[in-house]
Amino acid sequence: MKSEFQDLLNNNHKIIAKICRAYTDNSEDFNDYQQECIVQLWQSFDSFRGASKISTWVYRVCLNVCLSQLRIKKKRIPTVSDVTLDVKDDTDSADEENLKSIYSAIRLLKESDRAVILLYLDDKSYKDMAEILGITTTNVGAKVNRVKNQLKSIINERFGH
Amino acid sequence: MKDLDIKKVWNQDSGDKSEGFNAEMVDKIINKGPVNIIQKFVNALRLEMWVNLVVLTGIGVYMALELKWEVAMFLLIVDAGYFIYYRRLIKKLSEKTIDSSVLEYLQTVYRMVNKFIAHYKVVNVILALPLFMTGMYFAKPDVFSEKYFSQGWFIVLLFGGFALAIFLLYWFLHFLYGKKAKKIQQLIFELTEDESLD
Repeated sequence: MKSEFQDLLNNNHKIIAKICRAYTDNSEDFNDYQQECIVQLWQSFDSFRGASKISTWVYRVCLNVCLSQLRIKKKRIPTVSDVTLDVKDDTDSADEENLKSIYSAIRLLKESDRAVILLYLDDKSYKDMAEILGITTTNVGAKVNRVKNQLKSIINERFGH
Repeated sequence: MKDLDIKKVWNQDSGDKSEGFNAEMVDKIINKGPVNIIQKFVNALRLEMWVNLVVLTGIGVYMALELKWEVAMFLLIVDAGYFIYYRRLIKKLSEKTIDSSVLEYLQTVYRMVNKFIAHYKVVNVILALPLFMTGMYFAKPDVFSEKYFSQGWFIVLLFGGFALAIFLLYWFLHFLYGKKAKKIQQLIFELTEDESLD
């Protein structure tokens, strides 16, 4: 079963990394969140019966882990340089700065809104988003519109793109 | 950056360039076990359960050796009650719900945090008073005599001490878990807020 699980992790590790990165701003927290996601995925792997898509299940578990980790931190505004120094990117340098700006902007959103935008950016359908978040598709649509505009204005105002 | 560009840049990040996880790494992580808030509750309750069992059983045995059968029997009943209560609470907290929807999971965690807070209020406030009184009685039986209770300073000291202890406990519970409960409640509110009506 472990080798099956390892395959699952390797097929979905990008999703795990993206979610953890959106909820953390340093590599130490990132590693902690990522490890907790893996442990929780493993513990519920046995009960995963394939009722939903694997990626939907991975999103659900990882978002649940990140939203419930609840590290109450002093409020600080992440900057592009914070993220550049701490969390390793795996993109080409041409797009690296833009991607870092997007992550920094996402971290400025409310935690519940980050879940919405992550699913939207990963091209999840409203139906899948509603299933993952546990809210109605009409509510998902309204939230996506608001959060999308909010993200755009943060990127424009703070990072000048 | 236009809307389209955000998605474009984002999707470039999904190119499979990172290394993923090897078997050794996965094994190490899995063996470390979970460290989430619910697991911390479960660990704390397990420790409490065993400490209570050992201490109460120890006192019970001592009382039996001293031939104080009523007290020994009372402690045995409390012991069994504690054990059943803790086992049920731990079982409830250990139920796996991590793969439910985000809203359902947050609601479950919120209920569990409140259950944990209520547990401490019950155990430390309701049970602490009779246990303290019993302890005082065994240590100094004449403490409940009229001699002490007729003196104002004793009443003030006794109830003032309790009020202070309860205040400190509530403050500590709020400091440790109250903020967490509030934060989860806020997340639930944000998710359930119907924005399609705006």
